Amino acid sequence: MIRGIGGQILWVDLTKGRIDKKPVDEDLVEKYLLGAGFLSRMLFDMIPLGIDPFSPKNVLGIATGLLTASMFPQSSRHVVAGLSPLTEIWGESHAAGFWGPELKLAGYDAIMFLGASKDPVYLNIENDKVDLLDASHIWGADVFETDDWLREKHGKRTRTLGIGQAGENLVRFAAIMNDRDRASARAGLGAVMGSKNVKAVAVRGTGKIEVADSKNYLKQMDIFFDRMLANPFTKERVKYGTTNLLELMNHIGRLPTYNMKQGVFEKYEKISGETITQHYLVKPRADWNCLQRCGRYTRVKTGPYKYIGGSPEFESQSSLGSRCGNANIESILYTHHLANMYGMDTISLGATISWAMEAWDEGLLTGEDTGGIDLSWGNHETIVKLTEMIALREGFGNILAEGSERAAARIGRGTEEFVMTVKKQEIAGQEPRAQKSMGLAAVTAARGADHLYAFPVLDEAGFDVEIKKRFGNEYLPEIADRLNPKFKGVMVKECEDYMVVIESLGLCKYGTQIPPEFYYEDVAAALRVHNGLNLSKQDLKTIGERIVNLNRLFNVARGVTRKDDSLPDRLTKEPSPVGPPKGQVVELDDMLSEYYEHRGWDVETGIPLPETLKCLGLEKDWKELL
Amino acid sequence: MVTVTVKFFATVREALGTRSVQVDASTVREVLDRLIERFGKDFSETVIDQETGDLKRFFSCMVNGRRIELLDRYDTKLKEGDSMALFPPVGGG
Repeated sequence: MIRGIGGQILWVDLTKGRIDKKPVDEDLVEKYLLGAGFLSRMLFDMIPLGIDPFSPKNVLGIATGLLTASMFPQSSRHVVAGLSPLTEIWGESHAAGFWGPELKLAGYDAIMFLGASKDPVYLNIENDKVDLLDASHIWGADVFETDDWLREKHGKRTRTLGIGQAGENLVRFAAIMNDRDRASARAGLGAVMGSKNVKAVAVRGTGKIEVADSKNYLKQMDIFFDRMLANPFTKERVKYGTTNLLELMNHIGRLPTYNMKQGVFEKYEKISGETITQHYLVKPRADWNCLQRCGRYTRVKTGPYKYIGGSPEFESQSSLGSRCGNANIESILYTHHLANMYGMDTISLGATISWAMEAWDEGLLTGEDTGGIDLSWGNHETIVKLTEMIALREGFGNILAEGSERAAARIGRGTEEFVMTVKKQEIAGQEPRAQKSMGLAAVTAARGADHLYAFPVLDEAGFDVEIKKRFGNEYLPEIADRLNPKFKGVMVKECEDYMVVIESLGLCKYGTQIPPEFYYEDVAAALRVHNGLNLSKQDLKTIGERIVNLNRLFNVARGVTRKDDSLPDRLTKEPSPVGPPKGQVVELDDMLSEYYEHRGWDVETGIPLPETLKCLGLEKDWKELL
Repeated sequence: MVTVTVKFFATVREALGTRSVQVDASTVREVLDRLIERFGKDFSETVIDQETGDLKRFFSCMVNGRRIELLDRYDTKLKEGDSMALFPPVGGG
């Protein structure tokens, strides 16, 4: 019997208004773990081909990992998944906080939302008591108002997850928020929740989690705690969070600027981590069992952008800042706050506005298109205004709410050239001409452009020792060189396999990937003492590979092949104009072929080969699709 | 001997109380030696591994945006006007 889990899955049929509880399938856990792997398996089987993501036939899954709510450092996470309305392929997103641990303490590892409710509802969980309740009076409320109302009604210790107006209005990059300002932001799954008329999930769990080996559990976790606290990254993360990445990224020319025309922003110091820390920081914040504490609260005390709340991290800082040519830090802090309030992905939000700004700069968009709104680079009042208009689908915001690729297709006139997406999702804050592995990772990620599916940061900041540990000497020094495309295929493949395992355990990538403090043998040790699972390093690697291949099959079944694993021409054909990557392009074809070879996928088509699927026990899945 | 600019970031900047300095040196090692002379313990205790004399684990030194590990490490020769940077442990996305 698997320990350290809630033990039950909640099946919520919204069309029928029926809730069932079923035990976790332990055979499935041994092949896919929980979290991302569990949802990959379930949704592959459940979501039909050829449906609209807003159809009631789409399934929205929310799951915790095998180590969520454990004492493993940074073990707070849950995952949401479904057919993405932004990419129309595999959609998956993750968040930290306290909501995931609370769900597990209530006795549940996952919630599967089927069908769609006729009227707005929310799911209320108080341990064994689970009810679908009327949400008509909070439909239209923002994320913070919803959290306030639910905690007033169900108790201050209730944890909430839900959508704001963006999800209700089917903004294609709407987020599912939890604990007020934590976001499962990418892939637009907030809009799927909105399409099902589900406003929120309130949870109160007061149960216990029984660990498998109580004698060795604390001893093992103590070792992990000491290692995490002693890691040199921890002190810096507590001090700056991820905000001081901006200075590093600008220095190496990897900071998306002016819609990724370049990787260096001349006004970077105005929006830097140092500026935020000196003038706006209230305090760092930690989620469940988090020792890195990269979350933080910030405050703008006066003026039009006055607020107090969650602070932007590097991605929001860059997308709403340099990417839009915006050097007004208070507007960045405030827009991030608005995005949380309305429930939107700040990466796609900033990237979509920056696309429009470049189109404006090129004279392809005018005041006639925008309703008179000025879209000049760096116009922070416009960024704030458009954020509200997108969430509420007002005026020009209604077009931008479709994401940059669909907006460009609708407007035409050559604006398509400035769309910085992969598979319709906007590329995150990694200018790949300055870090080639990030270019490859963006095209191979299952949910469209994404830096986190692989999170290939081993070439970023001097991890040669860790590279040797994972790969031996075979690929050094080239693999550690950001600007060298050589051996990035093997690196991205290895990182993807490991990261999907981490997403299936409910752990953070800070601690498992950067810094690379914990690796397979450590999570295997944790799974032994916490869950009673005896999985070897090789078992876990195979599970990671199985999940990645199943995600690929999900997408292949929806038409994805090598031709879709591509970057915008700007990044593969136009040399970077300034900074350390000056003259560089992303040599994508070579990296992609190397990646497919390591994956055991057909190099011409990018489709997994039959023998690869057979080794992973997935041959039946492929045959069923044919 | 050439003159190079050395920029400091985050906690390194805090420890030294300055954003950048100009240093006359021929190699990366000489620059670090000059910085130890100039800033004393503030620099050496923040940045240098006392056992090896090299940078502490995960600290990054770059010359014109390139990590020294990918150049000639501490023997990397410098040119007039080169820009060096010293970062504490930082990375991710």
